[in-house]
Amino acid sequence: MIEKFLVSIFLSLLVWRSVDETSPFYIPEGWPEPSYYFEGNPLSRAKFELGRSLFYDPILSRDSTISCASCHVQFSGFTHVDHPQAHGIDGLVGTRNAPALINLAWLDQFNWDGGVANLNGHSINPITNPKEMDNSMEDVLKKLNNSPYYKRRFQEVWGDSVIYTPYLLKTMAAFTVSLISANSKYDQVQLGKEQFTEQETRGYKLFQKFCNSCHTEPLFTSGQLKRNGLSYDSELKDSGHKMISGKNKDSLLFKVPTLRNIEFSYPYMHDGRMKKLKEVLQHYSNIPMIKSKVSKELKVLKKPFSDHEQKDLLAFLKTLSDKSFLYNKEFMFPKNER
Amino acid sequence: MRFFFVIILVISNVVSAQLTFEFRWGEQKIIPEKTYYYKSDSIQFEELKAYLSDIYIESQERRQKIADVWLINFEDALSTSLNTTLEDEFPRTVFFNFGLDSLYHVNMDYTGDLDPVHGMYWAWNTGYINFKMVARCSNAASKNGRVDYHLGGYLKPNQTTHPIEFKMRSSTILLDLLPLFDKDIIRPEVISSIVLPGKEANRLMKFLSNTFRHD
Repeated sequence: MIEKFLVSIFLSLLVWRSVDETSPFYIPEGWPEPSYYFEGNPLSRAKFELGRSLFYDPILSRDSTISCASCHVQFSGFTHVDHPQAHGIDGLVGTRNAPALINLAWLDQFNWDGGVANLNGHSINPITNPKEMDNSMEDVLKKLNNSPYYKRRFQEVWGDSVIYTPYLLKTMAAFTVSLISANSKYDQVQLGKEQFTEQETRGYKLFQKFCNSCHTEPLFTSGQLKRNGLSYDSELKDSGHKMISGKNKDSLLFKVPTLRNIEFSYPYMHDGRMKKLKEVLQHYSNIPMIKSKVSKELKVLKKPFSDHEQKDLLAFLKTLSDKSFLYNKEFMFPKNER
Repeated sequence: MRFFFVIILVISNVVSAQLTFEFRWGEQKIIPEKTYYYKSDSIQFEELKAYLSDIYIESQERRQKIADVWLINFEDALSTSLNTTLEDEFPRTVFFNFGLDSLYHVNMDYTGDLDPVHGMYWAWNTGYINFKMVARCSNAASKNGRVDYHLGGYLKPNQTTHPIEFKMRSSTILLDLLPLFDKDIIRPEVISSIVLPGKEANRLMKFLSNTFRHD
């Protein structure tokens, strides 16, 4: 026990040493240590602000029309809400729902299929994906290096007059790793500052019994890959983690999304096939328990949720909304900076 | 005609050396846009790149690392040689990995030869391509005769990196690629594209690693 405590203190010190006090990143009270390797990318306010500028700047895309924020909109939890699947350059539509960008420092695999193992490398995906930004890293660097504005900003952060790939990727990660949502009603209840209503309490109990093993508190995701009983879409042809590992046993394994701000991050599921939370609850109520289609954690769902139970669960899920995050000015489009 | 992958170690004196890597077709140096022939087909290489990693040279007394990562690109003459300084001893053996050790895949350094700008990074799968061949074959199964073999993978069971060791009696090390085509190890007329880790990539990388040899 003492050893565990000392290790925890040591890890906290490592994070603390690598995070400048002016950076917005923090570890909420009672949360586990983040997985992100801060020593490999020490955070500072300047790096965060530069990452924020890049996140909102379409300069990263081939024709300078699409930015990260085109699909990751703050008020919905840094996802998008207008289509089931995200759309990118030239109006091209992808095959997946844009994932919410929330509390990424605690995750160690990214994308719905878990194909990306480190946040620092993640932004190469949307930049180079032909249906997203359709650019090459070479061109992005060329554009940035031709911009006196970004040359100056990168020089301030990295102390180098030339912008290289690691600078760009780590700067982007400095912004996304700082997107922390931990100020919902649920969090206030945990800190003893608020109380659930009776309905929310009933919903919380149901949640703990039936949902928490995958949507684990306090992140409301285990960060793992699970099979949740959704059928294969023969049009989208998305088999999840199987596309990464090449193994049949990984078919339809998708990453468990966080439920934080779930009220605002519709549509739901990896392909956005469900528009309302009610549909999601009905799916889990009537899930066919076919071994090959359902991860073992879901086998606790032996009977459908009643209408009352669904309402209670919905009431609880809404306590995970964090408007101080969704409208945090520090994460918004940076105005008047040029 | 033979298609060779060649590494030449030139010892200019006891303390300095140049490791040279050369793509060859038999005795000819492979160059872009030139046509080469095998069996009843012809091939033109558009892209030919390979990673070597953890390159050591060993003398009687010690083993010395001369490079972590070396990306060889047949279109870039500068990339085909590696200059180094050796201890004051005659080297006897060279060791390296054909492909990148798994640590390079997960460390996400992104600098120098590991920079994704070199077109050897699989963003969707966090990892690097160890060997890349893009070519045109007249009989290839694809529409325009294009052949894409992006061979990589570092997670079990699709690990494609192989350790190689050579005695340094002579200055030349070869990786003969012709058998890939001549012995039907690769059949572009059947499979013109391998761009994912998996059995095919494993098979081809294993075959290539066994084809490294001393001249």
